[in-house]
Amino acid sequence: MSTLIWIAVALVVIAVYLSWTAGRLDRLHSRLDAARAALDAQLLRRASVAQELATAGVLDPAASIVLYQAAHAARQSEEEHREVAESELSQALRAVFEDSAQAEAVREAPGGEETLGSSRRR
Amino acid sequence: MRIGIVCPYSWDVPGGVQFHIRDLADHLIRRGHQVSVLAPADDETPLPPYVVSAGRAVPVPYNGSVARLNFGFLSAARVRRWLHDGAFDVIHIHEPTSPSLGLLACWAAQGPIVATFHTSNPRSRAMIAAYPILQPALEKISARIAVSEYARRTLVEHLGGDAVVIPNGVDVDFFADAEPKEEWQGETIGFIGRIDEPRKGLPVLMRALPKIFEARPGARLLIAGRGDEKEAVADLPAPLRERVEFLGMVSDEDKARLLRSVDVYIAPNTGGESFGIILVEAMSAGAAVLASDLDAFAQVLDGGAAGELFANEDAAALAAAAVRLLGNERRLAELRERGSRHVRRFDWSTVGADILAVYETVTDGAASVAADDRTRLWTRLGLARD
Repeated sequence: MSTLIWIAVALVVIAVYLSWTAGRLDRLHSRLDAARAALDAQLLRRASVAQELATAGVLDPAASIVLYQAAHAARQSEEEHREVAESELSQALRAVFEDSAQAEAVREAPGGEETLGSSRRR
Repeated sequence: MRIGIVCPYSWDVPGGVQFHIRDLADHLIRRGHQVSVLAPADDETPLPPYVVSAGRAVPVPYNGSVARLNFGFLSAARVRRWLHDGAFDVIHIHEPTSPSLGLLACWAAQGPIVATFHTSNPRSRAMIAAYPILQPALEKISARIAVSEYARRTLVEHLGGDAVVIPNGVDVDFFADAEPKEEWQGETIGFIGRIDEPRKGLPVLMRALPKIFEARPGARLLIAGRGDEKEAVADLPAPLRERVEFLGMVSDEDKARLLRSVDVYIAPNTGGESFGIILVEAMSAGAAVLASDLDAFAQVLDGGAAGELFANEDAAALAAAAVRLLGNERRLAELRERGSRHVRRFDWSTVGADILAVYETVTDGAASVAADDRTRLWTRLGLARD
């Protein structure tokens, strides 16, 4: 009799453990999804801001084209090439804004403060 | 005439456009014009007296590869200073669509502007999307030059409008007067180009080689260019390898002597060529030319009249053509003769006069080049300075 009770207890313990693990996995999964969606939104926002900036005419045309091309590639890229395209956009942004005068010019343009602010949050 | 030339690529990196600009500047200076070249260069690079440095080019990912470009306020300010100090009658911009010095100069200048388009790229979507950024700068160009019919077609398809075709120049006499080297003579085939760059076509030639050597037991292949030599001959049967000689990187003089010595120059390039200056150099030196039938090559070889063409990437066709040529002394002499005659239109005396004629057309009655103070945004932002 007591053996049966022990088996039942063991089963219950295992069941509780499994259900708890499944719940944890589920929570992890939704956290991952949320993080991915947030990253995606931020990257999209960054690419859009870069593209806007490139067509705004605040920067010189050469820097504009470099930025525009990188932003365009990042927005159009397929999932498996996304990582490379986004990191190339990062490189382009770094190269263009390495000269602080460029960032200064953007800041002084109407709405520039918000543009830089939103891109800095990334 | 006071002429300003803008080079988009680093002066310290060897390349077709840079050599073209160097030779053009030399030619114009010899004809008594005042020439200043604005080019990206490292600070420590020794520059010829007519070159003005526009600062270092910044490596940045562009169009699928890492390009070295000049952009930003610092470069733009340098361009404006150069324009201001030079007080040019005309400026000649090379590759104005690449986002570098060319585009900046186009943007910052007003007055007679001549632009040369070197590349022939397939139309890219990013390029079309970026066109509105380019347009205001490109509209200032008063005359456009394309280096080949192929480059002109690209230009018409991408940007609209037309261009006059003036080929790249070659100092024909430099090659024609070179001294042949005895050890490079006697049934030799020449190849010049990067060994490890598949687009230069050495693998195609290597596949054709066993057949050529079998039919012509005395033939040898001379290769000049950078790259891994062992890897290049890896697929070749061992006994044939000693008939392939690697010369490594050669000087301009040795290149001329090599082209002067070989019986046949083979250009098996598989693509990505917009002109094919090496064919012109080979013809200048009096080598019979056998080239793949790329559009650009067919153009330079006058549709096959000045040199033979074979189907691109077809090793069997290459082997057959090479064997036929090597065994036919009369045909070789004929090609040599035709090539040397045809090549005169690529000589700097002809090409330089054509380019000067374009300069004269655009400067006629026009004011000289000045920095463009209308550049809208600078003024709007209170950044305009002189």
